[in-house]
Amino acid sequence: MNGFREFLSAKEIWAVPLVASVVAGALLGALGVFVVLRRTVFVSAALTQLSTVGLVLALLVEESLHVHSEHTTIQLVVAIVFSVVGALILGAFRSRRLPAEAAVGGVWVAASALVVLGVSRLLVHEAHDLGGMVFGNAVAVPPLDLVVIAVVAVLCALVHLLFGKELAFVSFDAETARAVGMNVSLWDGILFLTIGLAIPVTARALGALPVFAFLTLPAAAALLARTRFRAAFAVAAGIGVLAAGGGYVLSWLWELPTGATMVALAGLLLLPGAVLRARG
Amino acid sequence: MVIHRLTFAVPRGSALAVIGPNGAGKSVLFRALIGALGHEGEVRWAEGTRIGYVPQKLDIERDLPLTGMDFLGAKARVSGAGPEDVQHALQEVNLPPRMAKKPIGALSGGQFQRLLLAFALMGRPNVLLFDEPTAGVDEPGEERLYEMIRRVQVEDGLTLLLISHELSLVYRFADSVLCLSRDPPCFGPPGEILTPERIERMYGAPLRYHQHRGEPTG
Amino acid sequence: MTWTGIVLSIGMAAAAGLVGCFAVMRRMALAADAMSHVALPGIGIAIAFHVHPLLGGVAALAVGTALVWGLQRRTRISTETVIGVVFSLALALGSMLATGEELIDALLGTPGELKPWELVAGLVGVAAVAGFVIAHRSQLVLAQVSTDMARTAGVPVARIELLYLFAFSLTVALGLRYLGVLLMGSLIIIPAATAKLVARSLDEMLAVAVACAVASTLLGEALAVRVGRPTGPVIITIAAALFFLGLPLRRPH
Repeated sequence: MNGFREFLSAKEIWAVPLVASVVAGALLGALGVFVVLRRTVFVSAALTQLSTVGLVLALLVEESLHVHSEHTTIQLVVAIVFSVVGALILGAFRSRRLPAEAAVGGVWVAASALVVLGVSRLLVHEAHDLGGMVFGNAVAVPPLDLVVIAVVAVLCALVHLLFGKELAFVSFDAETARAVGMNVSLWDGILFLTIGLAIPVTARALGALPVFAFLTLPAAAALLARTRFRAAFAVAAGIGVLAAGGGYVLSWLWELPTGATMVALAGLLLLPGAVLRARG
Repeated sequence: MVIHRLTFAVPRGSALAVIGPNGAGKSVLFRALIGALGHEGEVRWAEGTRIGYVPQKLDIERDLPLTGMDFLGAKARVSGAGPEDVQHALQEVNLPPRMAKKPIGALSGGQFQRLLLAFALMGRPNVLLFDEPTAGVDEPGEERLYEMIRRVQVEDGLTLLLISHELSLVYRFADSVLCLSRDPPCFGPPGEILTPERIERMYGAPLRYHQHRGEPTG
Repeated sequence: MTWTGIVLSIGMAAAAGLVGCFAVMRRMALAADAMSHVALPGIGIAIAFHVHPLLGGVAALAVGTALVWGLQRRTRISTETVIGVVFSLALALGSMLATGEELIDALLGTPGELKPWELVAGLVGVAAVAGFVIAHRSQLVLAQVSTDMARTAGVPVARIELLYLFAFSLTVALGLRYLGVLLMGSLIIIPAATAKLVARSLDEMLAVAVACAVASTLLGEALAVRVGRPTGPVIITIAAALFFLGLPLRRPH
């Protein structure tokens, strides 16, 4: 078990990953409010799997071309493409009346299976890290990734600050929005574009599972505590920050896997909401 | 809480139509009546009441490898009824056995509606709750469907509770009308309730309405 | 693989096909697959305490499904969010408890030796699942198609859903040694999805799903030995191939 003092003294090692995790936690927590309220949790699960499929595919192709690249940019781009295309198809452009859960479910099953198939191929040849991809590798985050995460976070924040009203309107009363003349598909597309972009970019730092967890748990906690809509974004982002940052520090101190600790902490933060609810 | 301060009574053997704009809680009311949803207050049925319930067919996934017989047969097995009950129900709704053996996705809107009605009729109910029977059915089909429902009601002595948007048909077939909207609910005979002012207030839009030999068309 | 292993795998596949039919009917494919991952922490705990991993897996699945079922009834939160929450926490917990080699084994499947008591217990499990599904298929189909109509028909909806969830969990546990946590869900879903495409009646759907699942499993086991790969991925690849073969044969809509 490391002491807190040792932790503080190792600042150069963890400064970048910690900031990246915290920013990612805030971004995903806030976006998660839309995901949970629009009942698209399964879509975000499918998207995290798709993003991982993209990553695995890129690795497989590199391996078969015998290109051992540190060019993780290409992998990121492929993951982004998969995730964004999936987000637009599954999130924005499906019928609302009976959500096409068959499509979402199918994509999830297919993507999960592909990830395992791909990774089991990789495991045989290379020491690639299944655990890292799924559960997170937040310990080692190159500075470039932090920049990318920060840029995407700022972008999403801008979009949501500027167009928050439209996005909320379209999300929760699409019929009226359509009747008033808003281009519902366009706004849905913008929303899911931000989600589809955020997922692969944060997954490199946090891992696929923590990304999914952060899109679900903080918002669920805010929902449990019956926070009002506007406040929910701040609350969920705050929980994301606490869980990501706190989880990172705790994983250092107690020598636990980073991603898992973050998720566990986010889970614990559900309790205050549950207690509030039981009281009131 | 979706519906507030609702009180009404339905005489045995009569037909009650429930009208109102979307989202006013009509389906919710039915689901509370069958015990699927919690409610505060009292629901009192006469002794020996058996309820048949036909939900909105649009809520049911039809792209399934199930035949009409699978569906009716399942209810028979669960409720202890026999094959003759299945046959009787099919006859009552004029659905030939040949159609019942096809997958439910192969049935037309009207045929599927009749299958759902047959399902509800299998337990020999004396009360029938029918949610939007004519959604997705063309005009001549609507008329036929309502005639059939009326015939079944008379033959079996059913008390009928019916959610509908077809105000002209409601006027013809209902003995009383219950309207659910943002205003407090109102209840009474069709002539009293289906006035232009009330309709406009309920639906938020004026309906072209004129009385034609005692029947509104609009 | 020994013949006892093969016999149990046939039973396991049959159970998967049967159970899967009702998961895909309500389009709960993703929920079903996600729930199968909940076995992970149970396996981790079991390994840590030197208990048979499958016992831990079954226990975790039972707890997880009961938790999801209970939470979605009590809170306003939608089912899929509840499942997302339980799923994430279970995987996080599991990855903390089971590490390294054991984790990979639990995730991907570990054939190994099948002890006699394991065979017996497994066959009992298969019989329980198959018996439940076949005997209650009327109740299950009504509950899946429309809970309100099922209720009016006299089906004890809450109880049948809970029992189904347990049957599902037991099936996942049965398949863990052949396919692992990550892929077992797929064996439940994919053959049933194929059956949903091509079948024309309920009994036909059950039969097709069982046939596809068993065929994929047997062929997969044989092929995996030939190409020297773990059985799980090969089985699922064959199941997926059968699904794609079924696409042009789909029932007219």
